Amino acid sequence: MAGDAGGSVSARPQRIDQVVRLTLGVSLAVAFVLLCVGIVLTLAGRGGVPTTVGGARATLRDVRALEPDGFYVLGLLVVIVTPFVRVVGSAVTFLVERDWVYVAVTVAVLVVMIVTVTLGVV
Amino acid sequence: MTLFLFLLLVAVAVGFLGSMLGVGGGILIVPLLTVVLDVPVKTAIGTSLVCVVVTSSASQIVYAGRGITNPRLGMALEVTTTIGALAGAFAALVLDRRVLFLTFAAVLLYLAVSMGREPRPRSAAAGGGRLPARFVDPATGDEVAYGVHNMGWGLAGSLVAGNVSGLLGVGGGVIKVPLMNLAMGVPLKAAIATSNLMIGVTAATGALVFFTHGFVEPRLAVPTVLGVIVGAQIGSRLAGKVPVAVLRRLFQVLAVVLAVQMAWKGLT
Repeated sequence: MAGDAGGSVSARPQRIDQVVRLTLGVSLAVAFVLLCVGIVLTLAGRGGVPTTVGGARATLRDVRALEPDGFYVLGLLVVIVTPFVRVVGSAVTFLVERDWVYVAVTVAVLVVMIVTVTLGVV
Repeated sequence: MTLFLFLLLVAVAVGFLGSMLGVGGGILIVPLLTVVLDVPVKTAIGTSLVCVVVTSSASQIVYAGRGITNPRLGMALEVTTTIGALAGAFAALVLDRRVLFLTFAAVLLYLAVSMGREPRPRSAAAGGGRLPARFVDPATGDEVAYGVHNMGWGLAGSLVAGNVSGLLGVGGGVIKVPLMNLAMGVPLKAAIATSNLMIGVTAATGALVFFTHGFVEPRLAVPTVLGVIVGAQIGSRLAGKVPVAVLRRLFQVLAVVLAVQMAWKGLT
């Protein structure tokens, strides 16, 4: 329609919006639960909130031993990787929709993110 | 416990404001941690980056659920934003940060003034633009239709926004929102929602690097994350119901506060 800037797009959330919502929602919910488990364990007297982040082995050991440190560290890590999960989810959605331009765009974003982290540059 | 509760409450406010205005909260978190709590600056930045990730993620659950975010626009602009951030980190090694702080302060003041003016409505003769989108404004119940214009300017501006983020550690969202609203014809609420989507990506890479280098302290980050999750959920729901003129005014205040902060850093 002339002058109709929105074209034929619906105002309702699209599939990509639902995928974004789902990936972020699940990821944040997992992080929230992990952090809350840590708090419950702290309140139960099993240890305070740490000032440092342990390595992967120490973290997994703490989780198995129900030490709060492991849950705090794992919860924070899940929070931080949430946007990575969202970008991967978006790429898959564009692939399903055969929107090749945005598959390429999303993969490009993911590549730059990985390069940045690999170089250790902030 | 006192510190935990204090940070929790502050984080609720940070998440609330950040989600409403499309920014990440570094403007509030970094000075609070460094000046009030005497936290080393790298640890403060690490905590701030985690805060930005959570603000972005928690608010997107609401914005994406309402279809206000423009995910394709966000993804396209993220390409140059992430490249800009990477370049900014290298540039920080050679550029005089004080000059950058002062320049950024001037840019922010210009943006604060510009945001006080409503963007001119685009005529039908200008065409629909790219990436046509619609959303229902929760405040009015009206359907808002728009197309994206000046994509080249948007990509260039996002490169600058990413660069500034990489150099100075703040300022991604505060550039992206006016960029999309004033230069690209994106309605303010969609610009805020889309900016919120983008800042999480930029911050996540930095946060992961800081985390692996030991600059994210759980004692500070845990209450921040929990508080921001709550605040961002409330703020993003409320933002939809707030009139655009109020959001515009709040954004102006934020830009001025950040400009003063940047000018102070550049002069001292």
